[in-house]
Amino acid sequence: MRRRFDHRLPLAAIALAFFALPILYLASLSFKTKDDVLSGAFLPGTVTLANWAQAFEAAPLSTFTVNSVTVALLSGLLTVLITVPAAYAVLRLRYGWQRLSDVTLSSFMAPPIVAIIPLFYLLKGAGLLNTVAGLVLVYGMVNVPVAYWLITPFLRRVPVELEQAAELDGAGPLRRLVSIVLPLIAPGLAATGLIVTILAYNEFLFASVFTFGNETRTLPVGISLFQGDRLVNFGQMAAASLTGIVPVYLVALFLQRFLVQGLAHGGIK
Amino acid sequence: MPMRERHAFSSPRDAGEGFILKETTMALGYAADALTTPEFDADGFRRLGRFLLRPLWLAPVACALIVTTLYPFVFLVALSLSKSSLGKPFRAFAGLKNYALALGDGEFIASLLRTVAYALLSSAIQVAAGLALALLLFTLLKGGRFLLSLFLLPLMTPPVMVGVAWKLILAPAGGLLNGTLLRLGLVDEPVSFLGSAALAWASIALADLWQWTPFVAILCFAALSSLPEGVDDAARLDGAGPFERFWYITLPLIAAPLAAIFLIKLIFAFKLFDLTYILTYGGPGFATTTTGFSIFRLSMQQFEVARAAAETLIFAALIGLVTLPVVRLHRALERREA
Amino acid sequence: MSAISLSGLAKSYRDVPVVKGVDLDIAEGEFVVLVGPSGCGKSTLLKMIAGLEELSAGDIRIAGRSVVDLAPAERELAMVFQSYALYPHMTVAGNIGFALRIAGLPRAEIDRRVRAAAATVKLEGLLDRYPRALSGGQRQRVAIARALARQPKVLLFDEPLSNLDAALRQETRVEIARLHKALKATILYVTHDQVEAMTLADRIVLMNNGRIEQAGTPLDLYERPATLFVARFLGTPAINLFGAARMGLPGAATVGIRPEHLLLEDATHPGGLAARVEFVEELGDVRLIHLLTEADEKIVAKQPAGSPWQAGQSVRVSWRTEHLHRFDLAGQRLDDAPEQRPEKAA
Ligand SMILES: Nc1ncnc2c1ncn2[C@@H]1O[C@H](COP(=O)(O)OP(=O)(O)O)[C@@H](O)[C@H]1O
Ligand SMILES: [Mg+2]
Repeated sequence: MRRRFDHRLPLAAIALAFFALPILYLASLSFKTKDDVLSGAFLPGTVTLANWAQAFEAAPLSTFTVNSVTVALLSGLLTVLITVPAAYAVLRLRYGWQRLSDVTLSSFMAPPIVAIIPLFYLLKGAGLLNTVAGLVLVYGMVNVPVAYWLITPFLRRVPVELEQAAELDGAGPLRRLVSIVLPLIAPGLAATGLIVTILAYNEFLFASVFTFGNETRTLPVGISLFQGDRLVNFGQMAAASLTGIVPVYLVALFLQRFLVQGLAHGGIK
Repeated sequence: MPMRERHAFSSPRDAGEGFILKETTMALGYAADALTTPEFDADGFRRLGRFLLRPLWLAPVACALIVTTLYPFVFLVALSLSKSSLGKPFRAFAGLKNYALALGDGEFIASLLRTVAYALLSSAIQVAAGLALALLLFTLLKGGRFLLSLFLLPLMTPPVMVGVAWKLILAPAGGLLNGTLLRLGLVDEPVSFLGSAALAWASIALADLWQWTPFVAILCFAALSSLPEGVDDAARLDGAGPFERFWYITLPLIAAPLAAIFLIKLIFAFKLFDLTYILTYGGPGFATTTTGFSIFRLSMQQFEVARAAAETLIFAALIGLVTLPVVRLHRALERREA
Repeated sequence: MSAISLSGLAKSYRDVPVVKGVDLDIAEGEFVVLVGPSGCGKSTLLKMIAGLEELSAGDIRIAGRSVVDLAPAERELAMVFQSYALYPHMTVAGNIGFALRIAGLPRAEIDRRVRAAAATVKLEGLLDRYPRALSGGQRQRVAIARALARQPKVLLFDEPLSNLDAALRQETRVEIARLHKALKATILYVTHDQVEAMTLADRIVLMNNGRIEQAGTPLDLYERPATLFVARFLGTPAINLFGAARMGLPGAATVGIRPEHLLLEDATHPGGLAARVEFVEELGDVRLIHLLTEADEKIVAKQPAGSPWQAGQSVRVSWRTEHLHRFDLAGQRLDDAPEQRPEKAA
């Protein structure tokens, strides 16, 4: 019986190595001594924890982290609360303007740079510039099109008969959404919530313009400032970056089932 | 008893036109039903109440769209016609002067060309790479699904951190790439990857590819999973080799989703900002200054918000112009299938 | 020389054996039906022969030549899939001609063969349609035409009728039988439907749990099932089974008798088992009498139309010993004693 060598396995291994490399290198750098960094080797010669301690001294990383997590969670929640009832009303109840779906999606096409000046003045006028609340509001609204796009296929797949049965049982639209539809689309809801939360966590442009004090800055902004310093210390930068990456990776690893599902179903039909 | 609620499911798609008229008539119908019933009609009033509450379902999204899209565009149009600075907007009417300034600026035009070229090219490369990765994982079956979730990680990494990681890899002194090249004797002295225009673009493209290819691969994987059952086996029996099966069977069947994936990636490519900010800050010179980045500097560092507004609108129009053919292509491919 | 010869064929997914050592020879021009319950490994076996699944062990010979190292297309066989697997983006003509196009045949020759194949299954008018614009039966015929166009030595069918409604299934079954006669092709046909198996096959191969239970002509399997499983699988209504001890038949564990072999008599009649008629199913040409014995066994007797039995009646059930099928504890058939087989003795 022939057993041919499967050439796909090494290819997959190479791909995996390529995608793992930068993160592994960051991890390695964060444990390297200052002199060791200059070797350009992949693995540290001697292992030190100094970078981690210094990174947290050099910048208020814990404040940044708290800000980032707060902004991400609250804005993610806000996005879902805004989007899901509307998507349900448009797609299933046929309330209102059917083109809302298209309009929502096309508003997603404009790059964020378009909104930056107008939103700057809006936040300034509302006294929300340089506040966590301001960022929560901005992210909560900006990510609505993405959430709409992600939740749509899940909503469409709920069998109409279930809702009709509930309607005959006397359930009004809100009750149908809460007791019938939401439990059925729970995985999609989880995926949508997760993705918009991560998007908010990762965002840089708005955060860099709408915040300008350490007490309101998020991790991406904080870390971008690191490299403006006179003395760029590779090890510290790596440690600081990893600090920002670890929370998302933990979430991604524990909830990857939802993430793949949500992304894979997302409106490419 | 009126039973209008029942129509919620069966009514044909509202085409938009005649919509307001229809809604008004329905509201009047509910009110009339509720009021003309001799005894108190709780059901009728509930139905009327529900009907009047309908706008509330949509109001939050409408509000979000107004704040993030409609208002910015109106604001930008006004701003672009004014004489303004960041601190003191709308000081005077300036007519089309800002547009003239923008269009007369060679550096701005160059940034537009760079941005469009980069968006198209990088999206094409990433869709090709993502499809290849998806095909690889797809044929590995069960193991592929597991690997697929590992490939989520680049997508989840904050772009600023992606930039930092690649900057450290590409660094002339102590960077992994230069260290490796030197050790292998492939170069005699460190290469300044971010120091020349071509290499700086290549570096951005590499980091961008690292971040987005897994996303493209996940979407391609989903498209491949939706291929009809048995068709690939049938083609194998018909004598089609791997390349022929890809070319005659797989590719035509995923053409429509592939166009959609390209479109999505194109939209993201136009949003490229964080990576250039961290890796090159638009340099060397203006070599990697995308339009988004140039608008950012013009408004937030030089405070020329009026001209930045004009440039933003020109940029938005250009994006529409570039993406429209892709939207058309996607529609055509979808229609071919239906 | 046999058209297909399988020896020691086995397949495991990971560590789970799905096909567990299959030996089978199919003669040229023979119509062999592979039948068995869902999940017993029929499709897997078919795909192994087609080259779509790798073998874990064993050898496959087609026309005397080992084909295990050949690509599917080089094995000179064609297959009709259960899901039809039509290429949705190609017309009917494109589907039928795809293999020929891949093989690099000249356009005129492709055209000729596509038309010929389409004519065999009466598809002439539909060549420019896309699969989505065809009915289930028409899709089915395109799948068959696509297989025929390659002029294969061997045709494989994987439950080709299971997606059709009852009337169309019957019609297509007759059509396939006719095709076999006309083409004199060697056919290996998979189904889980015993009626298809009985009506189409020159020889039935009954599979269970990755192994062949019995192979033989339809009548062989029906009249002399080698195992309890075969006895139960073939025949509607299913064979009646009794504990052998109760029937006073030492040596056997289980005794079976087909519904048409049960004899019914008035309760006054001596001998046999006492039973009561539970209810009667009228099928027009026959009546199925459902009975409950004193020991609470449910049995069914098939009686001619016009027989007098009514629900609630008490009857006596008897049979002729040559109609009994006896099985041991392992479910293997116990060979009939010579005196019980007068037809052979004669
Ligand atoms: N790719 C696979 N991986 C693991 N098990 C499989 C795979 N394909 C089929 N099986 C298992 O092999 C057994 C036989 O399947 P199959 O040949 O399709 O049965 P049949 O066609 O007789 O209904 C089933 O139990 C099925 O679950
Ligand atoms: Mg099967």
